[in-house]
Amino acid sequence: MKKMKIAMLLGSVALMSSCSLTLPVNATSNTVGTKVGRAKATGYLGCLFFNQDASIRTAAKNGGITKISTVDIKSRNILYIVNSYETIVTGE
Amino acid sequence: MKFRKFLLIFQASVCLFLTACTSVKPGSVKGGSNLYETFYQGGSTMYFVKPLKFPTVLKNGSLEMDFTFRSSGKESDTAVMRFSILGNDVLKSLDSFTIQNGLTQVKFTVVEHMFSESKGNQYLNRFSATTNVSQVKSLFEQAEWVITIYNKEKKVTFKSNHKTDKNIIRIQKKVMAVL
Repeated sequence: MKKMKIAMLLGSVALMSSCSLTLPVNATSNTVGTKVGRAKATGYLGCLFFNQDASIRTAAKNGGITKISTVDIKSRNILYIVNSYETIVTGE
Repeated sequence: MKFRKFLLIFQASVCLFLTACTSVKPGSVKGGSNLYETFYQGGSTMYFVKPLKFPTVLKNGSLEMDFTFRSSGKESDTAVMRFSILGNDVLKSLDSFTIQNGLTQVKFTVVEHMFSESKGNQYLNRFSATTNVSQVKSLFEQAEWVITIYNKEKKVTFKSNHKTDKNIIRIQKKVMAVL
């Protein structure tokens, strides 16, 4: 009985903790372009990121974008052990 | 009785968490998959297939390739492939590169160099090439890609691993099948 309760509690925590969320960061008056750039950083325990770069600048550079149209950031968290941040930039 | 109550509360909580767990996305973005993003652009949809990783066959290094394309159902729809080559050499240009998947082989002779930069002990070289959507569709019809780059009589081969093959199949089912 006690074991089952613990398992259920752990299951709830797991369900609560492994979600992703995409949020808009910015939008400009530039026309919606044909290019998409992405930069991603994955960290562990919320602090170990090893100098990764998920900046808007890097995402734009990876996509060859000079005029940014929209910027979204997607964050993912698995049990507070693995955290990832992904910046997606569209533009021309 | 107490246990049944607890079970009921647990089930309700799970339903609540599952509902709340779906990702929140801005209006222009649909999908939420880890492999691709779609952007509605009034009349057509822009697809972005996130980087697929191909390790080298011989030395340390890898190639990551992403695809951006709009699909309006026309033959002339173009797709842009951008790829990063991580290796021990700085590459300012490529003579050509080919992608083959057992069914088809596509050769690209016009490859644009975007930038090169150091990354740890290696160099990251980014390039872009343009093709059409129908060729991209034909590539995704089968997994087990082999990408070969040719530069000054040197050639380097990259092969998809098991994880990349699984991702190619998923992209075929979720994106290419509906184009």
